[in-house]
Amino acid sequence: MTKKMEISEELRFEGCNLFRQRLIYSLLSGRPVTIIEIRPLDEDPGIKDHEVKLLGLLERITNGTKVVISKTGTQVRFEPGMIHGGAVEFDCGSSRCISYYLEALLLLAPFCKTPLNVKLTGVTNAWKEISVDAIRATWLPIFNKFVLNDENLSIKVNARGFLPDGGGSITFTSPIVKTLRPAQRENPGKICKIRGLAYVSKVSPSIAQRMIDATKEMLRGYIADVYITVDQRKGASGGNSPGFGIFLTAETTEGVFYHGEAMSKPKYVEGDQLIPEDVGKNAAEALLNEIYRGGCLDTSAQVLAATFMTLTEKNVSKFLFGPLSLYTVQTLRNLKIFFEHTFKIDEWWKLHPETENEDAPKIGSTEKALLTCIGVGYSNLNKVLL
Amino acid sequence: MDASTTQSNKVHRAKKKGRKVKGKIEKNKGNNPKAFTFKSSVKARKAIKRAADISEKKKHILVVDRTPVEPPPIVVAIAGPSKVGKSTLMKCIIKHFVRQNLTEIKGPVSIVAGKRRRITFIEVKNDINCMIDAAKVADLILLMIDASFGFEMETFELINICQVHGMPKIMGVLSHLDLITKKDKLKETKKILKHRFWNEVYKGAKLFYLSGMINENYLRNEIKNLVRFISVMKFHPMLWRDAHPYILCDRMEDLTNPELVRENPNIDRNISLYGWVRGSNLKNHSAIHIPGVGDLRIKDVSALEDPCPLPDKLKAKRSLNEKERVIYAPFSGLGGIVYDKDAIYIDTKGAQSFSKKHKRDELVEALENVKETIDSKMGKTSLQLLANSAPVEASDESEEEFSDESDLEMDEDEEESEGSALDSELDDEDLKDLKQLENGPPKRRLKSIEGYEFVEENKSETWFGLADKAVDQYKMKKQKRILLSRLVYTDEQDENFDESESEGESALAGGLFKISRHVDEAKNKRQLKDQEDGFHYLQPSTSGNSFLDGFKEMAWTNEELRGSIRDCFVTGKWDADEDEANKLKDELDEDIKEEDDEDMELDEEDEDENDEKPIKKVSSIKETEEEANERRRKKKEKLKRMFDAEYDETNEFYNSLKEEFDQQAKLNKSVFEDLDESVRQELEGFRSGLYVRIEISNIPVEFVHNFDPTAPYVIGGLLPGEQNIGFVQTRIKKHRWYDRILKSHDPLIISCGWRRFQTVVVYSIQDHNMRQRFLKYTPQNMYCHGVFWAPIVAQNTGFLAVQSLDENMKNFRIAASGVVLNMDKSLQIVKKLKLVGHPHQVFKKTAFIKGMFNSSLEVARFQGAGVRTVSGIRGIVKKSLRDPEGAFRATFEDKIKMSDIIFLRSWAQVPVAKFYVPVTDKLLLSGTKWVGMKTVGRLRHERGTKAEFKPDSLYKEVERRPFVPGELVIPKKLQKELPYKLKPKAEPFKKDDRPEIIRKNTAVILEPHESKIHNLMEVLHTVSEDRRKKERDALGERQNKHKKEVAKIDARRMEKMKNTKKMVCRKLSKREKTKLRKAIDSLK
Repeated sequence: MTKKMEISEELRFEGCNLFRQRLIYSLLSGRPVTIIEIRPLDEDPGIKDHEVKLLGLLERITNGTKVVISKTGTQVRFEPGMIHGGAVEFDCGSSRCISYYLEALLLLAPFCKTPLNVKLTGVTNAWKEISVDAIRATWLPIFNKFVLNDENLSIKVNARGFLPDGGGSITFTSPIVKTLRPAQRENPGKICKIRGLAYVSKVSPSIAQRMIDATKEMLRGYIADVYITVDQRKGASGGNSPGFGIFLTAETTEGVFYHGEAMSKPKYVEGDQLIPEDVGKNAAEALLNEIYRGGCLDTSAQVLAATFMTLTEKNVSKFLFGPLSLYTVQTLRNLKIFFEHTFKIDEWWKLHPETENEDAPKIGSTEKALLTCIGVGYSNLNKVLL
Repeated sequence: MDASTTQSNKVHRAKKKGRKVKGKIEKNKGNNPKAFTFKSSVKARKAIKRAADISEKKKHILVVDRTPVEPPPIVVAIAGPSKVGKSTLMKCIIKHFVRQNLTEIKGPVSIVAGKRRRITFIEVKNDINCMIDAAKVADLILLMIDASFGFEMETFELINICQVHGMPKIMGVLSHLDLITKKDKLKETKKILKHRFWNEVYKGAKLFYLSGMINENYLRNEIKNLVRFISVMKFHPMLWRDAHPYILCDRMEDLTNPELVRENPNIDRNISLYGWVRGSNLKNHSAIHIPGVGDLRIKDVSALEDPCPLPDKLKAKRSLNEKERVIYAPFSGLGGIVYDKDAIYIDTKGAQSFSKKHKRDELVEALENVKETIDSKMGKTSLQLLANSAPVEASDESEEEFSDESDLEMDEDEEESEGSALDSELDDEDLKDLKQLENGPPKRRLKSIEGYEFVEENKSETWFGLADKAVDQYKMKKQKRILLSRLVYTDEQDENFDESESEGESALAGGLFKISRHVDEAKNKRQLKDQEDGFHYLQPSTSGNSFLDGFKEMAWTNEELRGSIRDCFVTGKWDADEDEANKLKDELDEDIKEEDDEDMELDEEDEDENDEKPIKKVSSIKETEEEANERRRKKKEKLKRMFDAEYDETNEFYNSLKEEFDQQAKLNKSVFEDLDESVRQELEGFRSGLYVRIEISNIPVEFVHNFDPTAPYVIGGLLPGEQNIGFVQTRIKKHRWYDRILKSHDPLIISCGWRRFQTVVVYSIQDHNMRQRFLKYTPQNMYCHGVFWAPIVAQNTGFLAVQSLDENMKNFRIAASGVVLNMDKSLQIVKKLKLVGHPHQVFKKTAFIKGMFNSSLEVARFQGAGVRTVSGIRGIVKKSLRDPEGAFRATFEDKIKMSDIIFLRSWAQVPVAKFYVPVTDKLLLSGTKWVGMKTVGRLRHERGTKAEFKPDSLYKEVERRPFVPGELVIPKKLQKELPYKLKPKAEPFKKDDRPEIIRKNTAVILEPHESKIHNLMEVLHTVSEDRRKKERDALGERQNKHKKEVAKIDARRMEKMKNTKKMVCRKLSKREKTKLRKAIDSLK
């Protein structure tokens, strides 16, 4: 009598980049994705260990997810199920930092059926990657802007693990919501305090002091409220590999956090090991860079804010971003593809032409962007009504 | 006029009598303050409680107000059973508005009803599908009831449908009242119907009476009243409709290429549907559902000019003039000229066949949209040198952006002006050059671009002035600015939308010239695509030519650079309005001011008291009056402030939340207000209230062929996630009026969200430990859970179920209703499963059990499961045995008997069929009914077959053996303690039941001790035997002797007896003889 109508909800992507985002947006939007040409020309083609682990983790916290990996590993088909959540213990291995998985979990966490309580083991601080501390310091405040209920929201570093052997462990718990609330953040405020954490494990504790001294030297001349604590780890809580690093946050009067961090090179990386003074200096510079970029959030948390702004009810959210990073631009494009959702992006220098003046307040970059959007009307379809 | 100024009016005389005066006197009477103070704590408590109750009752759950600025026409559905006068009412209402008779009304009719209200009327056919669809979109339902007949099932059904789908306003309309002739009867009927209606809807629901007809029309006055009611009606927000966009279609066009149709008449069609967007904003390319058709994705949406616009708001007059009374009903052939993307339709009353379908030339279209002359356009043209850069405009030459005095900027200025010169003589060749320039390798490009070139050279030439260079680098932002939205959304999107975007890519620039967008170096992109995930946080969003500052290496030792973020810190410079010091100062000032005010007030109050005294200050009357007014105003304000403060304190949370929601609503409405319409549509979708045209491709040909404008065609927008399918768990209750019970695994037609679909429902009930236990049938008058495979909808969405759409049912058709609780990809519904086995070998506490499973695989599945005997001995399944197949070893807490029965109690999962079929009644010829899957019961009924006979399912007579009680064994210890009466007296004889031959031939070899005993026993036995023998012999002798004696005595006695008998007999016979002789003698 009639033909069966089918609408193709499936999306196709190429390349290995943005693997996480594609899977997560697939889970959130419910549209299956096929990713082809994953490292086809690489010496070691196909998906790598951490990507397999990520797929495994997503399968653990979801129900009804189907993953098909082609024989060569260069093609992945992902059919999303319902996000279940619950208590999960997972070994992330040491190929990537735990933050790689944590980011994915944070984006899914409010939309689970049961609140997430995940214990991840692996590398907590990795060279050139964003650390778990940074996620905790910069992502959670943004998370809180959209999820009012901050009960049980925490990331706890139980043990630190460095490359190459890992051995760190963290616990992440998060509440669930029915809908995210919109957030309007346009005023970053002024930085009122700088805090830091110098972590050393399986190396001499005096290194921490050397890092702190170099950092303070670099941060001198702005504000006096700079406190850096030492986190020295021994035994199991210090992981399996030696390492040291420093992590800094700057908090503004409006509760915006910026972060800067640096750490020692792992053993296998070529070149001379960094001296603690350089590490401290690098971290301070990273923090100053971040302050220079400004906005109402840290650059690394732009993804979270953009995603949550999309996933609110049909209400307007506004957020002042620093200069958009490449990753954020890709995120915005992905949001467009998955949710048919477009942001209004206003350039800061257009909104505030007075910043060009000589006597304008010196607040760093003028390439900030004000993102405005109406949410797609997303609600947590996984939550159970009793 | 002079006279009027001097005219003396009669002085007002105050009332001295009456209620009001009396009241006033009483109020002022009380002089004793103690008389009205607090007396009873109970009363006070009650009063406080009552006040609190009232204030709580006023509160509603807060929702963000989403009513659009210019709302779409409200939808009024006229519904009811057949032959109640729906069409007549529709006709009369339309006639009331347009003042002309309409011959044929098909489909929705939109009318401008007033200065602020437009109404779309639809007539709902007496068909359950139409009723459901209409209830989902209607804001108001005019429920027509034939008063001469009373309520019909359809009326109740419709009310039920409305309740499930968010309860739109319902207004009853009684018709055929003129058929009831008697006045008393009429009054009675009205009353009964009203109360029944109130019962169904709510107490006090509006019921209209159409008392009679004149010339086949209802009375004008009554219609007028009805319309007045409609046009002032207010509506509550409905959760589902606020969250979803929807459209009630009032026009449909087939866009398929006629040539293709000629080749294959059954080809899938491309159509466009028209209507006002209602509910929330409709996004382009979003997923939609058309009830009666299925899930689709929008190909394209475009906003059209409103065919039924509200009159201008400028005018102050109240009524509409003839021109503003617009009516729009394309299905009925009404409505003026409609402009459209594909064609211009001029209404020629039904002859709409000549519509132009093919795409017009782009140039012509462009010319049509021209708003300015070409000269003014040329003046405003901008040249975009680079894809990521802001366009350079001819008019505002670079002054704004390049105002610095340094050499660098000067140079730039020159370059820039060259650029703008270039742009003024813009032609194809230049464009081509530019394209080449942009497509060149990145390095070369970097060189050839203004500004950058200079810096590069600087770098290579000089090594001195490193600090200056750093500053220069920092100042680079003064150059090309990046248009972020373009960077994000237009530049590299073709990477992802290779095919789909290629059409839209060739944008028309300046109205006439075509700029084909260049594709950035593919190489670069490939790199990005293949880079590792998660390392791009700190990478600039643009590559190559221009980049955002903040991502490059910066030398923070440089003092000037360090100074550039000086004001990010609290120690830096503050804006005037946010400076804490200023704020503090202001606050202090205000405080002082307020204190002053209060002092003033106090003074004034004192003064007031003084005022009452006759010693008044001498001043002009006018001034004192003003002062008095001022004083009163202040007093009032103070009172209000006090009240507000008190009210705010008790309702603090509610008020703050309300405030927040109000602000959000305001922001939602205002944030994109000043933007261009097309940009706005891109950002927020098509707002509610816009008239849009929706293109849909590949719709089945039946939709076009069987299009029936009298049925409501709804386009329901779906939110992300709602196009997915899964198990939906619901709370469901069979309707009390439905006369059958519902069976698990029977198909049901469900209307949930926008959709109507058939699915298979499995019922269950929740145990205390959250276990879902399977139910075979729905319980009576109780909620249970129902699970079915269906598209996902938000929790708390209501739904209703119908068993069939095609059966001709006289009874109430709505089988069940309920609410959605939970969605998942798998759900567990279980039923009890009891496996039975028997021991085939029993050891101490271990036993081998057989007969429970059929294979060792099955056993493996149940390893560790608990088992139980009838008497309650618990155990667990350990491991399967090799032989017999399916037997297993189990351990118990005590030794079991061979005669025990072993039970394994478990829960077996009940599968829920993944069956989902959307009801496609809109694809059927109008009048034919949609037949879905039928229930087994109905099929059997139709075919006259009976239920399948399964001998195994039959109940058999239970055979019971007679009970044989075991023998009672009393332990010896107990025996000792028993009183003699209860002691067992004799050991029962134990029979040796060995065969005779064995018994005889079994040699018994005894132990020495035993043999001694045995010998002794034998001796004793022999002795006693001998003695017994002797005794027996003696006894025999004695007996013989005794017998002889007895025999002798007996013989003697017998002798004696014989003699005696003889004597007696002789005497007797003698007596006889004498008697006889005497008798003879006497005779003689």
